[in-house]
Amino acid sequence: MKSLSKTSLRLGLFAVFVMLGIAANTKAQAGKIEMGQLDFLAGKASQTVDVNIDERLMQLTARFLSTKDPDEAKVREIVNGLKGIYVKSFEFEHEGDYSPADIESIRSQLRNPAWSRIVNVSSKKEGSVEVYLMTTGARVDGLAVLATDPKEVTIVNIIGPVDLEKLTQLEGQFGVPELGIEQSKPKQKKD
Amino acid sequence: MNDYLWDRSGEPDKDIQRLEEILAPLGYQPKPLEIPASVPAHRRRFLPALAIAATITLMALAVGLWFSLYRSRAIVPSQTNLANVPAENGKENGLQSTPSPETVRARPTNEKTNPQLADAGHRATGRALHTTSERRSGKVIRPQHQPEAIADTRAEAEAAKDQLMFALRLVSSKLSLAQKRAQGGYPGNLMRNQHKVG
Repeated sequence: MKSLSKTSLRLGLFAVFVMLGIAANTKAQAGKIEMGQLDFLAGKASQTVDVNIDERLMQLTARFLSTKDPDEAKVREIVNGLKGIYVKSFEFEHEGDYSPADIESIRSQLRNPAWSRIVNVSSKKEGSVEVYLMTTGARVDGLAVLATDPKEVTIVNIIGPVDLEKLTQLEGQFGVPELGIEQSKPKQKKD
Repeated sequence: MNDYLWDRSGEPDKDIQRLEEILAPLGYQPKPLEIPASVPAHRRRFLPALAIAATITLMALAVGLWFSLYRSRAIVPSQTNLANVPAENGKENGLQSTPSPETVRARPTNEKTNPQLADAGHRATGRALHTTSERRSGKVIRPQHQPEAIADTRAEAEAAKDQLMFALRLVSSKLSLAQKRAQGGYPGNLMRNQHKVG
């Protein structure tokens, strides 16, 4: 009887440790999308972009961003507090080189109730852009962008507090030309 | 005077003799120690084994902790101090660029791009390793791998910075695209919903 109670006590403690470990791991990985399943597309793609910046690298990089340069200061402000940026982008030679089923693993993760799709624009010709947010109350814990067109698949995953407005304004800065998308400007009245 | 009660000499009293006879069975009777068979003997063997296992585990943990602390002291403090020195100049946060002759000697020639960064890195790493070595032997050992470690860290950070810039531009462009198309920039497109899926 005594040994039985000891064994059950040990098992209970073990279970508590396992649960604590799982909880800690889950918290650390909150907002992270597993993109490893897409690696096979690299074989079909003509161009592949794979960016993996984890929290350690993010902190290291942030230290090298100048506070004097306004552009870098802006980036520093945006990345402050972020826990990771992960990008996978595949560009294909021909239409149909990938199928929607290939990115189903990503979509299934984004169907998790923790993620909310805030924008979904799509057209047959231009493809689609979906923006997902993971929020806790008013706080944004993560961002995911899934952009597809007939010859390209791009998945962006940012973990941590994201300021969407500041992020949107970044395009065309750092002396680099814009990537072809203009900001909407208010129309001026003609006299 | 009768000394019977003192050293058993002389004539014993009758009452005393009677008391001695009555209490005799309760007196000390030498015999070997008998351990009851019901006492389990294996427990004695288990405890030392447990103690040995616990000691080995603690030693392994201590060695692991020592290694991690040693590594973090050798590298992380230099990164932390690098962070305190802005890329433009080294005067922010009270850090002045006043390198000692030793530091100047240790600096490699290819670190001319930002001397403040190099100085801060050298000083920080040197300080960290100096502290560790002082604790151990009381002597200061100048490590030979400082410039390489700092150069590696800087190269890693520069590469990560490029990646970060690219990633941010990409996500910014995609968000701008989504924004533009959602606002009707492309007449054929639809903004389907703005609510939770699933």
